[in-house]
Amino acid sequence: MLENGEDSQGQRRPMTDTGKHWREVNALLEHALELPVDEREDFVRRTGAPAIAEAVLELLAHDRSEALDPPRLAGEIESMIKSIDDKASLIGLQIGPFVLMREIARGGMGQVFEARRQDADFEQTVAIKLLPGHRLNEEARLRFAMERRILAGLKHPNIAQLIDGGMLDDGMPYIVMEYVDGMRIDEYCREQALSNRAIIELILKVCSAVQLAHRNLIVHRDIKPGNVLVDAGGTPKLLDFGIAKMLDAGTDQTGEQTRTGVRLLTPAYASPEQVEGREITTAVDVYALGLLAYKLLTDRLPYRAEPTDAHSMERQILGTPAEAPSDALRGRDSVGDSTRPPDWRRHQVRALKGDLDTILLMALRKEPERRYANVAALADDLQRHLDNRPIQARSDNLAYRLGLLLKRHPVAAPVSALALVVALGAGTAFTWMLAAERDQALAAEARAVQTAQFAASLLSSTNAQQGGDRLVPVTELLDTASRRVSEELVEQPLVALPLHLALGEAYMSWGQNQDGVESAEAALALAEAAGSARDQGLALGLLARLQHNLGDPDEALRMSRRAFEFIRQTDNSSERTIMLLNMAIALNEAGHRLDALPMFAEAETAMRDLGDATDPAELAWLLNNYGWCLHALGRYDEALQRYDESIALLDGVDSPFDRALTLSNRAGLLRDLGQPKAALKGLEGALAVFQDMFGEPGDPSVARAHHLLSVALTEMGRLDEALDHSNRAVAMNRRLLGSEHRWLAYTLNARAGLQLERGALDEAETDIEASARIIEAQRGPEHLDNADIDLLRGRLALERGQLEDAIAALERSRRLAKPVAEFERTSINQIEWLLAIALASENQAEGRVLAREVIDRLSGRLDESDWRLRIKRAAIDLPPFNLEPSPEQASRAGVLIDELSEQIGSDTLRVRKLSQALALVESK
Amino acid sequence: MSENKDLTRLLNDWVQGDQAAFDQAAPLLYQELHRIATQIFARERGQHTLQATALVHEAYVRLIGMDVELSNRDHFFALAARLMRRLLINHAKARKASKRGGGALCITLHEDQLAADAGTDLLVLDAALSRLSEHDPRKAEILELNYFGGLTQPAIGRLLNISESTVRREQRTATLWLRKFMTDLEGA
Repeated sequence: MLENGEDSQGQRRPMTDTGKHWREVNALLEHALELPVDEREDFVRRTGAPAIAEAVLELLAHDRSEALDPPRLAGEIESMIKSIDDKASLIGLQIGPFVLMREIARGGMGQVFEARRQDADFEQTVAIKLLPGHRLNEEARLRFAMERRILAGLKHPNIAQLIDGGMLDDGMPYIVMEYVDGMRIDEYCREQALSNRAIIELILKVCSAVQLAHRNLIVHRDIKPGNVLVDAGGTPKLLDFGIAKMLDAGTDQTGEQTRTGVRLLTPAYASPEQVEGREITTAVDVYALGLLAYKLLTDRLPYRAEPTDAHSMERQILGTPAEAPSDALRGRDSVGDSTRPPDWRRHQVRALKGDLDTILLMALRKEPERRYANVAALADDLQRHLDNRPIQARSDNLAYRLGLLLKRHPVAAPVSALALVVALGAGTAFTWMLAAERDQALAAEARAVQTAQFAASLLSSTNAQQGGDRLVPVTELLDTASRRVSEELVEQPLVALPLHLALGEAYMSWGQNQDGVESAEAALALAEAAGSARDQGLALGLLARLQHNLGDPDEALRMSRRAFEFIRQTDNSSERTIMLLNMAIALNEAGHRLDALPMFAEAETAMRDLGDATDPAELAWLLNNYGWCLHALGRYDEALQRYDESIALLDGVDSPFDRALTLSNRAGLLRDLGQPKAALKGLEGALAVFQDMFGEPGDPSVARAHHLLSVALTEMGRLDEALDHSNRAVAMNRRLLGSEHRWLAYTLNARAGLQLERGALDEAETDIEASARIIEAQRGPEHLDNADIDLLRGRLALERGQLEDAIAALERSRRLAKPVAEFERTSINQIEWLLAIALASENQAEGRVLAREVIDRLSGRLDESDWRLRIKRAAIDLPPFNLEPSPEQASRAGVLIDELSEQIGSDTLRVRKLSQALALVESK
Repeated sequence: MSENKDLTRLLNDWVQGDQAAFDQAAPLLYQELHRIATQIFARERGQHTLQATALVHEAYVRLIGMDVELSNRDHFFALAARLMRRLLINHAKARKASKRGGGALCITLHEDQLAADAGTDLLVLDAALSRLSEHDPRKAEILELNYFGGLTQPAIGRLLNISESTVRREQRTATLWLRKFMTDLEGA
């Protein structure tokens, strides 16, 4: 049950009946609409009761929808009025030499009639399209006429020939074209149950038509199933060539049509540049042909949006990478599936996986310049696929996507691209290696291709061995890859080098640190032989992280420093900066924050020195991580400053993921600063963004947001809500990452802590031990992560009154955490340990003295306003640590209790505990 | 023809303040609107932009002429808007009932992914307006006047005796409500 708990977020919410509270909803809505868009949500949540606020927000969400815009509605009404007149009235109308015979179609653009030429000795059937709503002014008429002449010259067996065009008396444009007695291509393919080969052959014919047009500098702009008819002889004919352009160019510039030009197109088939109204090139048709092929082969579009929801469709067209066709088939149902043979989907998944996935994803890239350079190149690859020759497309689309993901992932440094590929179940895995753009920058083209081909062969052979869809254990895959890289690439060290590095990363993220060291050392040896400072830096940086995971912090630090020396030597300054930043992030994550700090500072200076040449997103990423480092060190003001600047930078670049990430980090800081409510709001906002981005399948970032929320809610004593989020986080991580991943362990730890607060000791124990097994296996027994687990074990034992066990666990925890405890914000835990140990050993007085020492030490380092520090300070002044507090101590505690009650509520655990202690004093 | 004269007289009376004339005028005006709509496209295409607004104005000019006070004209438009809505809805229903089956040859349906059949949106719109008028009749009326009668915000304000800014505000919130209603319906 819980396993599926998070699925509900993807389902359509039931219709809220705003009518019930319409008066309140309306009042709040009116107020909200007065405000700037970005202030509305805050205002509504602050002002309205939850149910009302929810209803208002739902309404506000429609503020940008075009669903009922006057133009669309006007068109609707207009076409109704026209149809009030029975169709017969237009039948018989004479247009030039033609007479309208019957209506054959009616759509948003206009009506299409079958028409015949009148001459006695010359029979000709044509299709005439009337285009109301496109009334032309004088200048536009000239352009329209010119376009028409160009299009009339476009003759190709797969193009429905444009015959004539003009204006009726009232200025309504019409177009006369070849009459095609055929069937829509998608219906045709389905009805004939065409094989993939036959479908691709049809598409190739369409491609050749488009190629001819492109040679004549004509872009179709609106290729889609409805515009391709297949006649009885099986010949596809592309309709409406250039009409979209003709109308765009030909419409009165002051008219409505210009403004809503994009609406003319079916949103589902628009390319990103069309949605954004950017420059239209032949790449639009490359995209649309990819989309057409996608639809014919899968019955699906590469987006998850409802086709009727134009707004979210557009958002996905712009922002969501196309889903691989085989994934779409596997992951989504389509209404048409029921008409297919039972094993059709399975068969298609297998048939599309590989080449066709790669080809279509390349055609469907967001950036026009990253698609196939032209239709010929797309057609060539499709032909190669049919001929069983290797295709030219490189699936660095996937790699590129992963590169972005990697760059954006919160604690992602240790998760390699490969691991992500495997985790995401993507088919074309290994070519990602080209992804890392840093590799691409240096790798000569030939070498890159070689690497890609080798990597691809790795994967395909693995697949062949495993057969079909069986899930290959990751480590098995890595071992195979590793062996082959070592054996087969002896002669090509520069190809082997990035592969070794990548394998090392992959091993590390799957907890095979020892294997990772072997790969990293192999890479290091090759880098040394090649004399590449950069690669040596990379290899050493990787080794440092591996050694850290293996529990050898000294060795890790040594490696880091060596890596740093090499990084300094590389001569490309922007690349050096990026590597410096990566190094700093790695050190920070490994807990070597004081080492990371100067590197962050240096990278920041370097980036700022570059001025405008710096990518604001990159700088924001740096500031976020730098902020986190300072935050962890308890330097709150400096941290806040950096988070804020990071968010401001991200506001300008539309990267919701990074922004949400920074927001949630900032929320963590607000929590430490004693503003738990503000923190909670930030975390909820971040969660919403992540959910919105990843939807139903979820993502580790969604799980992490649930996790953070559960921790914050636990702290505020809202334990039921906390448990709900915690369960979601655990279930999602388990589903996405498997049961061996350390991120799962972290979420289990949080849930265990929560269960302790709830008094559910057995449940807590189950989680603690499950987490302990993962950490032990992935990180080794000496890793810092074990400190958290032992702390939880100690607390559990305390609750159960098993004092000796508690002391042993707490001492172990303290010992493990000692190396970092000096500098860490988390060293507040140290006080916790001391006090817990003191309680357990019934030596409260000594515990108090030791705890005070730590508190005083931390006071110098942490912000005075850190509320947990204040609680501890108050706690040791009260029983059981101080049985006779002074009046000042008691009143100080009283003030704090009041303040906390205000902030987080008086019935929360922390406040209750303090209050009980204080009550004990007052009762005396 | 005499019918037409009757209607003109009734409307003039009504516009001058005779409420009894209203009841008699409404069905006649409805017929007239239908007739004009049919004519416009069949015979006189070319001289008219085919919009509900235009149609209502056309009816007005033909039936009453220009020499009427502004506020009275507003009344006419309000009535015409309501009738126009009914006219269109009836027609949409009729069309839906006789909707052609599959198999029809499609040359190019530019909205093949969107609501497939023209008229469906109108029916939804009608349902939405009816629903809206259950808990906020004024908003429903504002939208009806605007969509079907082509009344401007100042005109709607005059007619309902509210300020222009109130009309604007109410129209905006009502539109949001409507969109949501229609989206929910489409998605359901």
